[in-house]
Amino acid sequence: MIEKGKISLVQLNILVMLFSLGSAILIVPSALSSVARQDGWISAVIGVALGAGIVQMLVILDRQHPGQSLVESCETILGSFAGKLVGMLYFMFFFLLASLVLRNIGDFITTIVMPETPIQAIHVLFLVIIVMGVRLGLEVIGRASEIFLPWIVVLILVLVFFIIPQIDIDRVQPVFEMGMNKIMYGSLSILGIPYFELVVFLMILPYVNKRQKAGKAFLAGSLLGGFVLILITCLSITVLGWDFTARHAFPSYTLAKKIRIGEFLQRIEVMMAVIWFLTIFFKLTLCFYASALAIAQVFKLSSYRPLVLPLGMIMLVMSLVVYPNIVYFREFSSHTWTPFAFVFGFAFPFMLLLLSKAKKAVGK
Amino acid sequence: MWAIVVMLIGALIAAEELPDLIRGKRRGDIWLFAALLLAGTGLGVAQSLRVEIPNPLDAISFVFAPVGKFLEALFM
Amino acid sequence: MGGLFQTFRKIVAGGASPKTPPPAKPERQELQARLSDSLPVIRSRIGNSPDVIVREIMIHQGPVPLGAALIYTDGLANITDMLESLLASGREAEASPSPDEPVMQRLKQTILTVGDIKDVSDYETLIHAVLSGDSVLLVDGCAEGVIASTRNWEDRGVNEPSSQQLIRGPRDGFSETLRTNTVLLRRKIKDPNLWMEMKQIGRVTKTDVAMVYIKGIANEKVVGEVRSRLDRIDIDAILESGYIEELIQDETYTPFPTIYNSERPDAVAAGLLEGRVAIVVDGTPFVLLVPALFTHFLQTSEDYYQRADIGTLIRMLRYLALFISLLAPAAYIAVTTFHQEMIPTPLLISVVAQREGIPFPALVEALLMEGTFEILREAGIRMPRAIGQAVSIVGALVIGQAAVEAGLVGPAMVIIVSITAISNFVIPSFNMGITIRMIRFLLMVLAATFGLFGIMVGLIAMVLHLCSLRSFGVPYMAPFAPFILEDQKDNIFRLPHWMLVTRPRLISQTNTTRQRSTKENNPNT
Repeated sequence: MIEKGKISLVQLNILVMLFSLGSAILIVPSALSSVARQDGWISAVIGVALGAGIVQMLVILDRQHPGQSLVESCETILGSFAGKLVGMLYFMFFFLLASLVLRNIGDFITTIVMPETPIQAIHVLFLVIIVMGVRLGLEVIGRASEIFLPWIVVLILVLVFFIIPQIDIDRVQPVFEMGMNKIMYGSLSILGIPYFELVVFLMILPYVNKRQKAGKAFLAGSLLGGFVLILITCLSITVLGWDFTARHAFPSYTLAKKIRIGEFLQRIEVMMAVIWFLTIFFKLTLCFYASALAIAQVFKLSSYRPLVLPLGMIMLVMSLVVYPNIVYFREFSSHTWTPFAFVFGFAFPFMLLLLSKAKKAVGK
Repeated sequence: MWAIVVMLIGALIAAEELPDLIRGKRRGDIWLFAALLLAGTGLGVAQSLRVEIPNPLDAISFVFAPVGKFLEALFM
Repeated sequence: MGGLFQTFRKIVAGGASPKTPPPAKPERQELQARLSDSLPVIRSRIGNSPDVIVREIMIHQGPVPLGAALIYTDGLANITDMLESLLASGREAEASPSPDEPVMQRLKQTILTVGDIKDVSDYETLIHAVLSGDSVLLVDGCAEGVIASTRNWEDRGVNEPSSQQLIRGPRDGFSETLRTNTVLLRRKIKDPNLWMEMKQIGRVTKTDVAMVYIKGIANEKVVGEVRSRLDRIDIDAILESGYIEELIQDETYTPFPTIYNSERPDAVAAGLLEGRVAIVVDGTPFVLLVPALFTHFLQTSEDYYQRADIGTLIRMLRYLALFISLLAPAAYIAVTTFHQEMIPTPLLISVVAQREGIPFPALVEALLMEGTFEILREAGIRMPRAIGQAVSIVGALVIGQAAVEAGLVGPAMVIIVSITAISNFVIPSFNMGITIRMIRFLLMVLAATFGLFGIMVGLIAMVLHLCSLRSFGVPYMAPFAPFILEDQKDNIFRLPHWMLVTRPRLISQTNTTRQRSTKENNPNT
């Protein structure tokens, strides 16, 4: 085993939830309402329901080869060469995902929080803690998630509580105006971010205590995350209105800006930023961890740890060149990412599942 | 200037990890580590010298953007 | 740990590690039978030091008076009892002529009325005993001596501990004598399962170290680990338990303490009852307690003596103080430098107006004040009490008021520094307080360069580091992470005693039940 630590079911649950919130909590409302307009929240609900199905499929795939990570079971199912090839593709997928997420946070900070700071400095600083977390291993990441969860929950609750007075329920009307087609199409974006990305957890599931219940914890975590996403989408639409939500790159941050209780309690959007830093930290760390573990398993290394620092260097460059500007990224995330993530988050796992079932059937 | 810093960091990483790797006597580990580190340092130097580095998303877009457009057309 | 770090360590340590083998133990030299042979050897071994007294006496056992020698260290041993019993035996012997049994036997069995007696047959043991405060009786013609426990030296006595004071609770504190300290523990826990293991550590100082635990409650693995780590120590001197602490802790390269120390017998007894292991070192009132988790450093024994609700609220207050003393200056720097829009406008105007004429950026301002305060604080600890007042006047007036009036720092900064300092004093354990003080500076620098983002990064790094620590195998952040629901009863909350049914799960793993179930114990039913 390359990773010796184990995480508990609770930790898995928390990690899945934080991962699903990751960059999604800022991006998803905008993507949803730009397609489905005021019906964006329906898209979110449908997306989460479909997402639960995907997670269930991933769990079944994981059960086929207990104790093996995605990359290892690829080799078992596809044989050495094809297995390694798919394993490398997954490494690239995880790595690209991590780079994109890192760039997201760089963009967010340089456009909204601290415009004067060079983006490289922010990437380097954030990478330092990512590398630190990945080198310390899964156990430490799991424990850190337990420390931070209460903060995140409290901040979300405060946010929701204080924004309630601003809700204008008329903004969701007319319901179903856009028709089922557009609503379905909108839900694809929430599938792309974060549900197809949850395939990352197939690298982590083998290191969970009480494996029989791991599937349930995985599903519960993704549903919890989905619930928060639905909530934030609803709030964005009812408070900001769909057009504003769609036009804005980070609507939930703007949402937090709207909070104003009396003269003193205002401009507490920094809470939203804190939630985001924390959730994205875990998402990024898990992606990076999964990619380091994937490449180490493909090449049958004894430990993934020596690779973390070089991979960090590559990621720094990658995150800077991965897209030229935010317009390019919005175009990419709305049109290209979902089908791309679909291949890795659904098509490959489903194919692996079928092959594995077939192999077992033949074997009998 | 930054190029030198990047190379220095590369050297530091090598100094940090290599002794343990060499003690581990696993050739595969050392090769992969060296390859990744060289790639990282090379990319870092290239980036700091403002060399155009091909954008991986372009390649992905080339394949998947039409699919996305097709989907959009299908639903909208 | 990676290679780079090890190389660095080697350079710093000068590569001096065990090139010189430990000096071979001097060969065991048997006592000689004749006093005229053995006494000069003893005298020369201790260099004729005048504080070691070799007193030759005659004892009457049988027809011929026997020559004997009583050896002890002046000031360490109380030999009144010894002399008295020897004299009394002489009178008796004159009255009734002795039977034929050997003199030594009779001495030990009937004559010496001192409590603890041991045989000695070599010079090493003899001299060590004498230097530890015991006295040795040698009889002419016998190649064996008797060590009598006569340790009795000037002691500070059991005083109120000055490092951990409380309002309600016992006033006794450990002192510098190991025996006094173990007595204090015995008096709190009268159970045969309170076991003590004695060790001597230190090539030169030969310091007595006692490992105390409650058999059956303490985790055997931890006990074994403590034992083996203590046995591994090879150092010339142990002058304080801090030496032991650094030599046995899990992780050296961390600012956080992973071993708890206390001057309070009640705190240590409570730890023992939770299943922890105490290490009592002769010569210091600070007793070590392992495993020590993060949360222990924010608890005091008074939490358990006051009512549960008070205990809980005070603990919450401490966590709040922890965050304030960690974050207040950093947050101030971040907000004034990068995120002015976060402050409500009226407040912003007044803060900006105050900072109008100040020539420094917020970081420099903060470092100036925090640095000054740290210096004042350190000065206050080290200097004679009489001057303390002068320093506090200088601190309050000159630094505080004058700096503001001179326009060097803003009044808001002074407030921040004061609240930070006071909050830091709320943290009950001194070493954790220092840790937080150090990390605070780091966060200030991060805040000045990256604003709130920098603070978040610093906090995440800190939490990651904390989560990676272990104290004798127990995760340092337990029961927060890994989260243990049943241990939350005595973590931030302190539930009433009748609800504290089980011991902390990760610490004691064998005998975890403290009392009847909550239901039976509830006094309200």
